[in-house]
Amino acid sequence: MAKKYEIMTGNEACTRAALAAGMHFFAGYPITPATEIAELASELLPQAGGTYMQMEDELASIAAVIGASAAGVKAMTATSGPGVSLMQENLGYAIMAEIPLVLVDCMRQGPCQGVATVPAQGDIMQARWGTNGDHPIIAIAPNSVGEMYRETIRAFNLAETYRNPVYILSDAMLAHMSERVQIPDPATYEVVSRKRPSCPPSAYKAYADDGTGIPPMASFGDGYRWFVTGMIHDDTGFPVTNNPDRTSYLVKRLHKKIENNLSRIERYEEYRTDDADILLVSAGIVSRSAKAAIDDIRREGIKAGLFRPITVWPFPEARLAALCQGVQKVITCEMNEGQIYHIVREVAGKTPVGMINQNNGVILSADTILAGLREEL
Amino acid sequence: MTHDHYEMRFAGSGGQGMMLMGDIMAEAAGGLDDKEIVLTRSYGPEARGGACRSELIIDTRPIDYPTVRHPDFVLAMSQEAADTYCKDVSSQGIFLVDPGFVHDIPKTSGQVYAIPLTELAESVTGNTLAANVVAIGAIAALTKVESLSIVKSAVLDHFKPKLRPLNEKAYDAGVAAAQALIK
Repeated sequence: MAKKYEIMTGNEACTRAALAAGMHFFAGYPITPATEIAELASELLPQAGGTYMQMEDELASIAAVIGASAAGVKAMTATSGPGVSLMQENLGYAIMAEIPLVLVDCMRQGPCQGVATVPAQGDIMQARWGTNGDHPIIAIAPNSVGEMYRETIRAFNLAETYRNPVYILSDAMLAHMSERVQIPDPATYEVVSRKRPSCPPSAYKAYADDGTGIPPMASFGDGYRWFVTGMIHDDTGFPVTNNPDRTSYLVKRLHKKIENNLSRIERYEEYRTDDADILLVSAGIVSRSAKAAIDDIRREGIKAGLFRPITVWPFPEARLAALCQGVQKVITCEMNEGQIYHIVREVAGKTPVGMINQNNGVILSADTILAGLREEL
Repeated sequence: MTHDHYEMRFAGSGGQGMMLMGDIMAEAAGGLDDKEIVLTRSYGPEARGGACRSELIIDTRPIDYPTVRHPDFVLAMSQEAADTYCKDVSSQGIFLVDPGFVHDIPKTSGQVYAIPLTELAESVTGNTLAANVVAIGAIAALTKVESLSIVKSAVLDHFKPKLRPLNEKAYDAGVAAAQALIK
């Protein structure tokens, strides 16, 4: 019997998709529930001619990934919330120096080391604001193993296109659960690589805007001179201190890379929103419970629908704002103290916003959401 | 008998092959048959010993909530697993225990089957490690969630050619033991 599907875990799907997207380098430090990504990368990357490095900690891991990416290859690291905390300084460096990379965060119960083996959604705001200063970020939250595969490929494409780090927000549940994946034919999807300079090395200015807002990126070793810094810098990359105009220009250009391309970056799913009076907003694994609860409560005559941001950052605000206009109430379902609730309140306008949350390492169930809905309505 | 939605839990101690049972049943339903599956695993840090379980949802349609809520089938390969999970079995459900480990079978609303899986594995194959494959045979016969031939294919596909005859014997013994009880 020919098999249409392969059964794999979320972590395996992530690793295999990363290779399908052209990952050539992985550096990491083991941590539950992300370790299997490193484990599989250590097996598959050398076979594909790539490099796997186990580093001494998470600081070194993301530093190695930044170095590999600056040297011209697609690079990824994977960790969990405590490891992401350690990576924040260098993540900011990658944002400032415009180094493409993919950072997988298999979220587990926090704060701090919390509970290693159980799922949570406590890093949504860490992904947005974990590193200092105002900065752009992209974060994708798949809700199935199949989507993990497809969105991991897209994460690499977005990182390469916008020269910005991209988070994949997984969780302990999605990381370890197995589902069927239809491995897409490579002819059916796009694999994007960073734009390279077309000018001779002597004319290259590493951070000069070519009109797109995203400067072409040379690789170390190609003969192009390139100064890399975490400081505010000029077009050559050298630090510029105490220059308000340059500071403002650079911070704005970094943000505009994302803001000017929202329609190409943002992705969301709507479920039964057409006639919905009640709108649930939920991301990642919990959105599946929300879907099940919607089917249940519709049998009781309550018209509920789901808005699921697939990119949680940038949050698909415009579409959500439009949907909020047509409903009586918006309710977020999440496994934290209200991190999605925050942003939804900002865009809901006059529509009241409620929340059904659970923050104990147990997946917020359809039954709990259903009970919460009955209470809220 | 067909099921649109079927929830299974395999619970025991580390080293008894609970994870492998989940993998093989998932492959039967999701790989060889064309059903949706979600397979989750729970285990402690120990390589052997310690409570562990594998949970499988099989559905003809996409599965929303990925965790077992009301298992239609529960296997308990330890007293602890039996005591913990007997309560969840639905009234139409099936509760299978290995009396070699579960000496005190707790009350449950489902139908109880006691099959000496480990003892059978030892007598038929000379290897107690095959108890989980005996269990798969019994499960296939008791639950009818997938056809006996599909489950058998999934078992045989899993093992290297050298190990197939032994596991085929184990599987057949499980099927026969269950069928004897159904009659």
